[in-house]
Amino acid sequence: MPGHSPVKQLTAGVAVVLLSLLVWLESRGFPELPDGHPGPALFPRVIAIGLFLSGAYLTVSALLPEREPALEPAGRTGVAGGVARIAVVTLALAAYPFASDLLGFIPTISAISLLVALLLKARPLQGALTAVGGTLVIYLLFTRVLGVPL
Amino acid sequence: VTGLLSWQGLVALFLGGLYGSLFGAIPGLSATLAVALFVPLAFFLDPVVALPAIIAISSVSIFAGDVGSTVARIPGTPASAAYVEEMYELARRKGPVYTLGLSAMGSAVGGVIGTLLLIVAATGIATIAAGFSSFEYFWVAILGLTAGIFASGGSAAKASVSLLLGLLFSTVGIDPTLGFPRFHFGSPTLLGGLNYVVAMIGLFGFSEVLTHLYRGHAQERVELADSSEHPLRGFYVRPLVLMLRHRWLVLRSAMVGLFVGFLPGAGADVASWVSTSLQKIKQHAGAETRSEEAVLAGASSNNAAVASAWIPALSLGLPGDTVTAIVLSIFMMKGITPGPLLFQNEIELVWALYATFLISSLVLLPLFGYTTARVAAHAIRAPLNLLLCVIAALCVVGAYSMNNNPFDVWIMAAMGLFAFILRIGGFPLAQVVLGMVLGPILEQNFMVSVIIAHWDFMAFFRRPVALLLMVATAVVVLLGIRSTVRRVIAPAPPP
Repeated sequence: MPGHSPVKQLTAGVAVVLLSLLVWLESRGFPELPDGHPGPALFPRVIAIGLFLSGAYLTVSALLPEREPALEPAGRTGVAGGVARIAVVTLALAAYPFASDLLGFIPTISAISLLVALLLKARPLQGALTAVGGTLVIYLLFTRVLGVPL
Repeated sequence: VTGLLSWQGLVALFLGGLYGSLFGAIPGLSATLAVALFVPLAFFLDPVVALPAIIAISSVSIFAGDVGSTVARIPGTPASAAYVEEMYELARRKGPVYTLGLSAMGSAVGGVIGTLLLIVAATGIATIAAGFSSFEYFWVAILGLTAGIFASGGSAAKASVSLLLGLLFSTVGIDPTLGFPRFHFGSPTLLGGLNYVVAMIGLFGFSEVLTHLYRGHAQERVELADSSEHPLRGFYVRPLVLMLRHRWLVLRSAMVGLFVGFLPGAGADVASWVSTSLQKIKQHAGAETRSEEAVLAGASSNNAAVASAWIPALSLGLPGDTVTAIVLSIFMMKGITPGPLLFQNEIELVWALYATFLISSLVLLPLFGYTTARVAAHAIRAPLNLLLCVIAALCVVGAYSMNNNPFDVWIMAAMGLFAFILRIGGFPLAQVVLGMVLGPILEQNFMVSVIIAHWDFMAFFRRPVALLLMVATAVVVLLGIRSTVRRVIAPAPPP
């Protein structure tokens, strides 16, 4: 994955071009100013044009040598394992509002934190202590020391 | 000044600095929030005690924003986002104590320069700032964006995409021209726009967690280079020596910070970006002290901007940023009228403020800077997987605490995922934040300008200061192209 990857750059370029088209299409529903000049649509459309041109450039130059390093590949478990770990944590965060109502703030944050620790291969006891202890410290710091309500 | 030098004044200064260092270091908590939470207390205090505490809070918290960058690549403030990659890289290469020492010393000197200018030229500078119209603001935003593209050090096309994505995020919510809701997808929360602090936590903090989850190996500890060095030498001596070597850089960055900081609505965030970007464009690729120079540029300019934001507030009653807006409300509550008469009627208060800025820069920043650097040095040595599990908790709590809204946690997670994808593609992240910060300034001032000028675009080139800023933008483009060409033709580094 690091270094030159025409497929990756091609994918990025095409995605940026598609995004620019979506922005343009969405902006068609925005109203004009009373004098007929573009209003709320103008800025998003300028951005869409910029995205289109940049995306097109990336697409066209996909086969040119790439000098900057990109992200290293996933570890031994491969791409699928990496994506699965990301999906699990992201889903846990998606469930945060519901879990927080059900379990409470501290248990929910501790559970998410522990999940991250375990997925990063921390020892279970060490992970649990860090997750619960870290959450408690953060909670007390925010609510008691700094007066930020949670 | 007698009020400030009383024990109450000194305690307020010290506690303000401590409070500011905590708020700046914790992702999601900002100088503005720190000052806002302090307001109920400030109303009951004598202004000669309350206002110095606010100065201490704002100047120390802007510096402490670099602590998150050092430990976990999470900038505590948008100003710190300008050089987050350099802070993170430098902390791993030369140690967090040295890195934060560089930031604290740069901040201190920037703060002193800003204060000196505040003392000698407050009224004159404020008059210049008052002459700035939407045309000049438009060009300031363009200058910042242009510098941001070339400052990435990588592909200008990819930096442009990141910047444009940031600008696109800034359009979410009510538009500034007609009040029309854009890109809110039926969500009432999105009508208020994307909070860039929440976005920043996701972009830098959560994406860091996701990156390590993807790689699946985060059991290593960070090996630090300066473990045998005395922390006092690492924090004070080496940064000061380097600063002396780069004194013109520090002075120039502080002046940029002053210039941008006193423009109402711009403040330390934009100042830091412009200054750091200009330095990155100017310096040679592969320069040995590349990261140090970027940190010095950003740190000295953002604290100079903290001081200069007070210039229009004191002289004209115009808030330079959100902190000074809160300060003006305290002035009003206390029956103090800001403006030229303030310098005649409340001269003791004015001198107390000047003295506080100097004490804050010369005593509080080095003191709290050293303390936070020592704490950061311990935090950074923790096993990475345990550190990341605490960072994940901090990301959730930091995002939630902004508005006590669980939706912000989703926004943070979405931004983290988005940033992870950008990282895979080799797109820079800092430019997304720059776009989000400058987007509203750019759009609002562009729309106001074209409406005033009846869509005559030549009006953007008629005002002398606007023309000067346009020339500065053109110079940045030329420097950026030169820097890109040099990088392309430079021999590849040995493997």
